[in-house]
Amino acid sequence: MIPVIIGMTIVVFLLLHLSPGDPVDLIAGPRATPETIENIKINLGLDKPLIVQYFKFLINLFKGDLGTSILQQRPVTTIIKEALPVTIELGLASIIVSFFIALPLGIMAAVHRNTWKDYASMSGALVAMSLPTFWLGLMLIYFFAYKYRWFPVSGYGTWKHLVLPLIAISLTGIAINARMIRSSMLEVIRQDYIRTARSKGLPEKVVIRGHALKNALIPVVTMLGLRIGWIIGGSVITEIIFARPGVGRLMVNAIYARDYPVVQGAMVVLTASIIIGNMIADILYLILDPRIKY
Amino acid sequence: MSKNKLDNLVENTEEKKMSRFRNFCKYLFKNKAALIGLSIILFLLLCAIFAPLITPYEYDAQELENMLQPPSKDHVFGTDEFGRDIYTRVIYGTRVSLQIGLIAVGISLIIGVVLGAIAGYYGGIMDHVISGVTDVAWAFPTTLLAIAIIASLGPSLVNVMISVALVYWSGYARLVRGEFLSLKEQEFVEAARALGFSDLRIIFRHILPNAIAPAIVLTTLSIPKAIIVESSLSFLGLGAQPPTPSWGSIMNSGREYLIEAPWIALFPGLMIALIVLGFNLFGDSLRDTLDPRLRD
Repeated sequence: MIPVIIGMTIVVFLLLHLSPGDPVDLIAGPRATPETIENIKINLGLDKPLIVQYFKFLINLFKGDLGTSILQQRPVTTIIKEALPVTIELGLASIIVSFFIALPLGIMAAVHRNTWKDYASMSGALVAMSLPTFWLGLMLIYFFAYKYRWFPVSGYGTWKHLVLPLIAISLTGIAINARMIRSSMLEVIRQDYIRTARSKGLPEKVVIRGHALKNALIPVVTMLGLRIGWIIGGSVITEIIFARPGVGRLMVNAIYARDYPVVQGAMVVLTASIIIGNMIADILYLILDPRIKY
Repeated sequence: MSKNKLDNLVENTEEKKMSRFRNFCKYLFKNKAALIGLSIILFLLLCAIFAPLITPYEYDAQELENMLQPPSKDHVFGTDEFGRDIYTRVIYGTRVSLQIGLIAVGISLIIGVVLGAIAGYYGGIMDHVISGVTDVAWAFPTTLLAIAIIASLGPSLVNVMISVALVYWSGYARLVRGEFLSLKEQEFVEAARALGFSDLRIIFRHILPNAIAPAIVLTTLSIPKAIIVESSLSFLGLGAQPPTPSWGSIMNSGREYLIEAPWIALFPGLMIALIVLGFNLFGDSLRDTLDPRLRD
């Protein structure tokens, strides 16, 4: 785990320090003299060898210092702290909503396997999975924010601002989760202990809820960890379409503006949240699976 | 005498291979989903190849007096802010998406399979180093990594291809390494070694054909993801540059004119959904056919 994290910081660092574009020129402007450029380089520490720069970056990381934004002349950490709650709000809401919609859908499809309920919901899921998030976002805005003024077009603040982005980003997740839950349940239902439970005379509902479900959820929970990564990636586009001032939008705007410290800081934060998400999923897995003893 | 027997043996193996393949095809194509998926893919492939023949205009022909027109007889999907025919641009967009899907994923397949094979077969230090790099690449979420790579390289379609290739190779590497780890212990490998075959030959002519099936499934499922990544990057202006008609970049202008001209964003998005659906349908059926456990 630790080497992977270190590897990730190296990748993030290299991506932005080996880039062909030169941020120094941007700061210096077109009429700068060679001396000015040298000074800026020394100020930003860009004149030292790459390894030294990397270790400075790492040390600052531990201190919580992500550098200073070239554009806004403010500490990157502050800027990101302002944007983070917005992203987390959407991400968390998406995970919760997807789970609570996908669960009954997947169970129903598994229990009523090969009936119209199964085919209809799984076909629907397949189609929903194919719709690109940004297209969905735009269509939702056109119909529900413009044609019918039920929701605001963009922005951040009230629960109403959350609905459309939530639908856009969660639809795919619901589809994928529903399919996963269905196949997981199908595997579990075939097991011998389910047969035993049924032959004991337990009502079907109890068999499903008490025995099958708990075990079927184990791989789904592991998926949750991976989902966090996906949601964070998807939230970048969603934040831009709905003009939500989150970390993803911050990062892309920084890319347009060549504000490299912000891009780097945003990458670090987003990557860190994914690592944390995966760790939580691992821990949940340990707790939920009684076969694994620590 | 013995020559005849050897010939018979070889013929039998060839026949067996053909009938296995035929059985596989029969089973696969009984599945309606597979057929629908494949037809969609082939249809879009034909659109891409014959684009100039099926489009009435040039994709960059501007008719400024006709800008932002709704769908009509002259312009089936309407026109954009420069008066360009959207139907034409959408059809040419098929070329962009399929190029990314096939070329970029193809490159990542080659990189990933080779690295995975080396890591799985030789083990030891090579495995450690390659697995380390693979794990790091695998840990990044795809869209984020793609955006970061583009931020580093600069916006262009070629850079998007590089970006996609760098994002998806780790999936192949992990897969192939796993397959190799189990396959290399089998007897046919021992036999091949005893016969004095070189490592390279064993890897590519003996083990790899047996390890390739999951990689093929991964490909059918990676191509649609790659197409979405390219569309997203172009949508952000970080991919295809004007006037190249990528579905994503068309939707970018669609976003600007969403209220006045919603059709600009509507049609490219539907095309993306269609191609993704096609590959998902086909890939799903492929996976179900290759995995006997899932045949309910």
